[in-house]
Amino acid sequence: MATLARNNQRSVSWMNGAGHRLTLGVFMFIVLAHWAEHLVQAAQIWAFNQPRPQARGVLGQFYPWLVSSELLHYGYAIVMLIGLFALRDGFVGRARTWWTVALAIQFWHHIEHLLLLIQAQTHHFLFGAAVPTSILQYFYPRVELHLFYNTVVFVPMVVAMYFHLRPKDAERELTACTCARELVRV
Amino acid sequence: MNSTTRWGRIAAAAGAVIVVAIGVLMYAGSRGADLGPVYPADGAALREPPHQVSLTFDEAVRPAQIHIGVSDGSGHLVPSGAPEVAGTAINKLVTIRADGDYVLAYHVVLDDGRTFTGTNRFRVSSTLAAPAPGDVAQPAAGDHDHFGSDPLSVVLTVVAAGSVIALLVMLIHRPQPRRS
Repeated sequence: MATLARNNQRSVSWMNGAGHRLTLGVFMFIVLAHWAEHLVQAAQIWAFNQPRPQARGVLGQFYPWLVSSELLHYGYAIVMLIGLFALRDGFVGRARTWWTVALAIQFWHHIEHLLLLIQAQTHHFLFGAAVPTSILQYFYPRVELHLFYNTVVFVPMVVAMYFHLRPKDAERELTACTCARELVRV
Repeated sequence: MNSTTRWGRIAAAAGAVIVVAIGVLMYAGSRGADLGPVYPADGAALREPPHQVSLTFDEAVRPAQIHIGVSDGSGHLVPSGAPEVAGTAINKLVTIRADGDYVLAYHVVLDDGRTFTGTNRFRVSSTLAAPAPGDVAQPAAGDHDHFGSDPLSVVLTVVAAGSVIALLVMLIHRPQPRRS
């Protein structure tokens, strides 16, 4: 991608420069929408005592196939991975460190979802299981494994966003985007 | 200590926390299978009588003993077939012909000695509102349901919900774009 933005120390693409605020906002919308669905699902199960097969979040009530589609969940995992990778150059300093932590964890999470997708398509399941099974499920055979994955990816993302939106002056100098407050020079 | 070193140490600490967390989860996971969804769920109201009842575990199980029965309001067992183990689920065909209140009682002993017992009360009523298309209950094993019934799921969900709120607040109050 052509270099379209530049500050006095780094040159970055439009996505990580002038377009970082927009693209990061779109990415955060996708992430929050995904979490909203899962939190609604949790409320349906725990607060409203709905039978689990019927606790399908919001979209899942109208499109039940969404809930059980491994392809869809792999799609979300790959969107997360691409987003974390593509937007990383817009982060600097502390924010970049935390964003990179999220990227590394999501990379492994994506591998797990890829294996789940392959198993769902081939009907050959790992470890002799009767359903698609994650590698970590061999050691930790619990349904909340991917809730754990999603959480440990999301928390460092939120920390990264905090530092990105409220950078120190030295970090602000290095950013080429418009996400944070303008540096005040005295 | 310069900034790079400091954040390198923080990143290393974060990595160590993750490794320890995974280790704790692995240790916790070594306890064996846990019982997940039971169908019909306790308190469920069904328009159509269920053709089978099922117990779904979070991993494949090899039960040593299975006792599952469904009784009607007068305490009589309804006709049923033999229980079948299918991977993570134990299913049993039942024949329920009339509306009413029913009790599903189960007692399962796994080959590792773990025992699961319980009762689920459910109602069959043909006068209930028609279910939405796709409301036909499906076995939960293949569904994308991350929420177990133990405290870890609650903790993870609370952490996630708190993070969602924090992110929303940050985004709502994010600084206005600077003029280029």
